[in-house]
Amino acid sequence: MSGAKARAHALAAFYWAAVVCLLLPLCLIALMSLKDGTFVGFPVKGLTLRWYRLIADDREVFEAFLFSCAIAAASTSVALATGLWTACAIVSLENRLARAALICAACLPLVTPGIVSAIALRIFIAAIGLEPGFLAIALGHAVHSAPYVVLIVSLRLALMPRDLVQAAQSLGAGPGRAFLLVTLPWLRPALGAAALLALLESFDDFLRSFFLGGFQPTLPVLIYGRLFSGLSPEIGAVTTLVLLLSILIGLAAETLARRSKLLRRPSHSGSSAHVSDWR
Amino acid sequence: MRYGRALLLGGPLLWIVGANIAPLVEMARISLLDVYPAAPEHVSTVGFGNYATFWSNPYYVTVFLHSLLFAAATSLIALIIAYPIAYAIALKTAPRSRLRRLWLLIAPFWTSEIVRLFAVMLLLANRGAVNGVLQGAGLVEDPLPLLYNPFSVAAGMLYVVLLAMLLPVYAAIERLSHDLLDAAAGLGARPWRRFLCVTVPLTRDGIASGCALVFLISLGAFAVPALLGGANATFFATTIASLFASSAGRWPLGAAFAVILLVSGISVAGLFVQFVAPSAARFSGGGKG
Repeated sequence: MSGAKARAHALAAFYWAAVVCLLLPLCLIALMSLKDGTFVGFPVKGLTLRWYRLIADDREVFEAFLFSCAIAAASTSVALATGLWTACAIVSLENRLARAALICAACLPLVTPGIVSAIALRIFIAAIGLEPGFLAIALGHAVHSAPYVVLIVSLRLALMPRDLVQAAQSLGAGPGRAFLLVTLPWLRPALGAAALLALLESFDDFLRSFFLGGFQPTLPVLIYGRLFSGLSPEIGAVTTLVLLLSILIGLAAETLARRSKLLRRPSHSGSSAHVSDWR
Repeated sequence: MRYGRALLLGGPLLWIVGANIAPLVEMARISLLDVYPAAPEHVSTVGFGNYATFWSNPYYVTVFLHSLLFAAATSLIALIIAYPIAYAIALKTAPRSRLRRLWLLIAPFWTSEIVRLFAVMLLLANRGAVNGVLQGAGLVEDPLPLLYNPFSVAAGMLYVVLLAMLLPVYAAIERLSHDLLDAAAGLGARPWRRFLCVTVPLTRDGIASGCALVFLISLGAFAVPALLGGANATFFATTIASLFASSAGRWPLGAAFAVILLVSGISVAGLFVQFVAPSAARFSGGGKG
């Protein structure tokens, strides 16, 4: 059994090594944002909050932040509406083949390589006469986030007891009323999680914002531009703030997803016995 | 009731056709034109000229094949890294703490792609963390050139795509039927044999979808080679982007390249899934259905 123990230890060590490898680079960014000195890199001799004071007065950063937030809000609303609608349509289909086809078509943006989806949208907005800018980016983000909403909401819809809506309708509620008073409250945690995920996707997105944007950059596009024009610790401060905001949104999404029981997997009968075997 | 149903299905269909499919169709249409947007004195003609340009230019074909290989290699490395991690969480962790362990790995991927690439730059730059440690320990005199080469692109790519491998593989390992593993053990299979003959074949569907996803993502990644590849980086995604950045006159060629990337990417990924995971669902406790 000592061989098994050694293997279990090796696997655990590999897991923690992976966690460190994934988190450490992000901590480096935070460290650089606090570094006292004009160049980005090591050694770090002293710490300062100077760079944060500097970006507090940076109009460009502030405008990019507002622009990113506005786009995230607009694209999330569109993605939520279309995603919810699509999920309801998917669940309403009885034919398995039709259902699978609709899911595939709705999730097409998830398997389109990033550069292809970005330039296809760039060509598309030119074709429908939309200038690069706010509306174009918001549309691009909505197209990209809608599949996530579809997947999350249809998972939760599938968990809904079928007789709930029937009960409402037998009590005299029309389809619209039953949807508003029964289905929507049931979906609320899933919609919350989906909304936060869509916000995150939009806030983090670089590729679509880059190709669909006009003169006003979003925050990731601004960071990208400054990474090219020479590294300064100021970027570290901006990036740290973006990073923290992303983590906050992610944590909120995780909490909601857990609350809506989307993440509970069926447990296997042999599972617990097996695990105790190995420990 | 009839109208309600038409409305229920009509909205999503309209959105899917308009937002998911129409841009790709328009892109394919532009790829057949010789000039776009049409100049007033020039009537654009339809043909496969842009595709011929691709095949007749060895430079483009080389860059394209190089990118395909790079994406395939990324998938393989991501699988080798992600499988043990997923295995450790799904099989060697008490069910109670599994989700917590998983979230700890997911959290770094909440950050923007650009943020993570900046982190890789801080790690690998001449004055970066790795060179700082190596020089501090006296192992190297001059900083190693770790950034702006295929190595840094690979490192950045893995930092962008790893989650897309981890989640499908984890899901597959987690729904593995433990009775089968116990049966194999009972029949006298040693741990490694159990792993190679039972665990890996039964998680083929997770492996296949993880590899297909990572392949498609790394094939279409633009920011990674643009930021970490240096001036000489030759990736098909950056080639396509440059055709759109410079002058509008080259849109048709860029659109044709994008069609080539999309069709070949989806074909390779689809064939791979067909090849690797044909009957996996049968064994994994009805996992797919």
